Amino acid sequence: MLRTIIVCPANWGTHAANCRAFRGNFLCLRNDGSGGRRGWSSLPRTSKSRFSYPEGMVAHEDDYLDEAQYPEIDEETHQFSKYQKDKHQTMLSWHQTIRDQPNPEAKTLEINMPRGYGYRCSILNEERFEYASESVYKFLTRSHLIENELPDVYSSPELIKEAKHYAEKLREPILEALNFESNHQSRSYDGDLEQTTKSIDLKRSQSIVTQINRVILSVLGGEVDHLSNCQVDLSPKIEAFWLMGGQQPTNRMRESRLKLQKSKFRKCKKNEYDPIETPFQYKGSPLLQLRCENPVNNFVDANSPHCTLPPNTPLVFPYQLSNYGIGQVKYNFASLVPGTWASDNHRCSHIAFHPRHHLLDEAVQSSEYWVADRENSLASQAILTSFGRLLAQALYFGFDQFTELNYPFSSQTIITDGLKWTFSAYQLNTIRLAALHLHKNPRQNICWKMNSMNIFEDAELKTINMTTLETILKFYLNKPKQIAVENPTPYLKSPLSTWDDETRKEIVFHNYRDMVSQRWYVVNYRRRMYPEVYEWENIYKIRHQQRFFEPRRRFFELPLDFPGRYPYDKPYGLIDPHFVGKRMKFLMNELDANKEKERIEEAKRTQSSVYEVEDDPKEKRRK
Amino acid sequence: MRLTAVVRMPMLHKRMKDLSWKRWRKPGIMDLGMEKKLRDEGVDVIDANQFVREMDRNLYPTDWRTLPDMKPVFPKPPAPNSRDHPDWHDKPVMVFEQESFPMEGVNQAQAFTKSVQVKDGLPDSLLESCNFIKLQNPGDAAERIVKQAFLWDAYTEKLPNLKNFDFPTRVFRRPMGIPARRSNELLMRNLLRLIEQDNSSEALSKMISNDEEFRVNVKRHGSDVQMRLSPLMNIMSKRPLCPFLDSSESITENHQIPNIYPFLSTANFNNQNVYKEGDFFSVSANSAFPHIHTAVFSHHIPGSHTHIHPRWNDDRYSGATIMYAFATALLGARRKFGDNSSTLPEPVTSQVVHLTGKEFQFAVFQLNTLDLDNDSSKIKNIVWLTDKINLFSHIENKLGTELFDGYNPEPFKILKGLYSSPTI
Repeated sequence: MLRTIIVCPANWGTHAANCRAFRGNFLCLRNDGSGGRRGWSSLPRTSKSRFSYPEGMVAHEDDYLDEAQYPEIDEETHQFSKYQKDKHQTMLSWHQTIRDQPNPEAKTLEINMPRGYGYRCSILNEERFEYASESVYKFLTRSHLIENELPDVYSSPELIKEAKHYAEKLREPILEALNFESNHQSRSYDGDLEQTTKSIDLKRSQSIVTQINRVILSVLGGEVDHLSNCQVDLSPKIEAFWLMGGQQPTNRMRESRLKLQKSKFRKCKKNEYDPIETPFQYKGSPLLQLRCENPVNNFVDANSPHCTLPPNTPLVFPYQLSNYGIGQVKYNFASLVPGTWASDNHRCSHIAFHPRHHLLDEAVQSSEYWVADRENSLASQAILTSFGRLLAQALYFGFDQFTELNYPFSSQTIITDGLKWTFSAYQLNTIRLAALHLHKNPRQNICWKMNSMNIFEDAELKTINMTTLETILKFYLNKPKQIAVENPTPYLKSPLSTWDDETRKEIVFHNYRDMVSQRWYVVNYRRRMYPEVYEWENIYKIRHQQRFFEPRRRFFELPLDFPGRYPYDKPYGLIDPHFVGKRMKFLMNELDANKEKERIEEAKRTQSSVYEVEDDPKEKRRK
Repeated sequence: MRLTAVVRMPMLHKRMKDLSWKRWRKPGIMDLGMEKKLRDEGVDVIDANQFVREMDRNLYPTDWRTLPDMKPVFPKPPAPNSRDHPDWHDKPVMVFEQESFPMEGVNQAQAFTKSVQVKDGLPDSLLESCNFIKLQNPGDAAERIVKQAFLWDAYTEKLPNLKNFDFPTRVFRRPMGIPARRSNELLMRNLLRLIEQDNSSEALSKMISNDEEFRVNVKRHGSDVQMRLSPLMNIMSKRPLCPFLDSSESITENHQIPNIYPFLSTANFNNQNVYKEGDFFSVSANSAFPHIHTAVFSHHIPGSHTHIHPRWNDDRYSGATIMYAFATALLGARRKFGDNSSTLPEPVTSQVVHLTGKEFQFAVFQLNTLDLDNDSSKIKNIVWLTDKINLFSHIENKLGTELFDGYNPEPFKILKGLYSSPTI
């Protein structure tokens, strides 16, 4: 007995027909003419003979060749099902739309569009680096680490000569600055109970670094071109977002894959141990950053063998990342910011100074092995911070994560607490790390890192170590160079401020700033509540079906692929900055009306006071 | 945002009872297939139970109630304004802070500091040196710095709520952006960097210190007054500033100190019992740069809009500037001549920059005498004060269009003049 007929749209798939709620009660048809599932349809199947020519078409001898010419087979996609092919195609077209956006704001907006609640990111910051975590950060950024060595640029005789000249000049002023900082009486934060050794160290290193930078720039700023025109940031906001493939699936994901493989209606095509892709968000703020118009000259040629991945390198990281303390997951909109908004012309970071306060973390100090591992964690800090900074910088040059760089970017990083200095240099060769590109991508990034050096030679803190000072000066004196490419920004067409379409510009700007400052989570979190399965529902509705008598209205009770089944997958809804609610309009009108009324009454009062003098005697008479 | 965790928090004890089955269930050992894998690799696998002793139940007490209270004890911050506070004194002092202002404006400040304005604006020698300055860097670099501080810096924070006084119940969209303190610090640091680039030898004879708070005590109208201030940054020098004029009576003879009767000059300073005794400045006297050359004060109160409230009118703002200048000069005098000196062998000078970001005000204070309560002595202090000078007329990023106009290079010029004013 048939009670109802539902005609499903073609893109619903056959799941609606097979789901528990529909079975037995409904008849499902698909309106693309294929007739739905065999045996359920009452309509005849429209089939044609496989080898017959279409109507009106006749074979001819010229149509044939001696050798058959088959269409090219794409190795990636030819084994895909139709569903997988469609998915692949939508992903490619999404990448193309990101690439087509004319400026970094619009590109970031486009990256965020598919996720209304933001990405579920692992947050990476500089608060703590786990024991022996260097290998993970190398994998996450695909970088090759060259230890205790700096690039050849720093050993060029010209640079050494220049650095030595300025080092002699600056030795005493820097010693004075360091003494000035160490001679202080108690600071405002010293008596604060909420401060820890870690946070106090962060503040101390901030003030020492700003002093040293001031002394150096006051001498070099007048004499060196690129330093006189540079921009200096104090603890800027630097954020970077990327998708990383090639990770081990979590235990929970493996379990669910096994379950899905066994399930009757939805077959899981993926193997239990297939690698997964997850998003990462780097959030950092260096103590100080110098920015220039042009980037640092590349340390190595882009085609040199250092920049390619050595053969037989495993592309999948063998362990789960949660073992290395990278499990902190948070809903977050993708944001790529190198310290400034895109309208600033000085978009290339020259030097960034980072703190090493994470070494004073309680957990780190509790283990002697972890404390001894400090060079390792400094290396991972150098890799992470440099990669994050350069990734955001690359977006400001128009290269998003799904588009390969036309040329490498380089930058310099110094990690210091004022006394111990760690120098590192980084060259960004590739940013295509998503699962789609990871296996085809033969390139890698390079990081050079020195072991930490003291700025004082002796324990009494009286003589300055000249090699350390010279290395600091070499970093400052390393000249930025104009990018030697015809069009360095092929994917940037027009900056946001030059758009003619006012409404579109305002909407893009408004939504971009909302996303990047994580406004929905900071200010208005109740509006952005993520759909939740309550614990009682998990027990009584999902694990044990105790509530069969209740109507199924919650989203997880709806049939698979039914509208409203996946509320967490909804795309981002753009907000109009000029929108004013109906109620607010009414109230504002009322306010205006009241004001006008008052004005009229006041005018009347002033007029009547004139009359009152005349009318007064009459009134008196009446009374 | 998952609400369940939050909702459950206050009722945990009930939930623990409900979920007791979960707590007491038998824990199982997960079979990860490691044993088989290891055997295949050729590793000997031994059952761990061979090495484990049975636990002696008597070693561990089962009665949890007999255990001592193991609650960790954290140091508790003392309650503000309570008698238990370690800094409590029975005798109160009058406090002048960054948030307080002289009610009667410039007149009150002059009456408090016993100072007179010899002329409008800055001293002539300083103005001459300011006019003599030619900016090596064109205005381009300074403009870029202003834009960086107010437009381009990507740091965002919740700013204080907006209010419409015609419609007080209206809730505005929360403004987010660069907080005032941060933009002022960026602006001042970078402007000073531009100045120092041009004259490096002068820059190396000075030092810039930040995050310093200082307090100085002074007696006025028979009561103790404590001035607690936190400048944004101090330009420190090796030697103190030169005085601009003589300390003789003849210069200030014709100028009268304003009278604000019926008020005392300490009107609307708060009485407080919780305070620390004595003067304090975190840069020690042994340091190579012990003297404040110029102090920079940023006019903001973190987390509130009270600093743009109409009660902070121009007159009171200028009065506050004079008070700041007096406090820094007093600190210099204490450093130079000792703590208990009431008479000054030679005058002490201080320079102050007071900014809101958009507006700059400059003041120079020459401390000739510390006999503030003694009306019979005719020596007076001298103060030079400028008006508020706008650095720009408007700056805003209005939904994608950057508006910046009316840049005025004068504050930068005066700042440069102040920076290079001579020391002894």
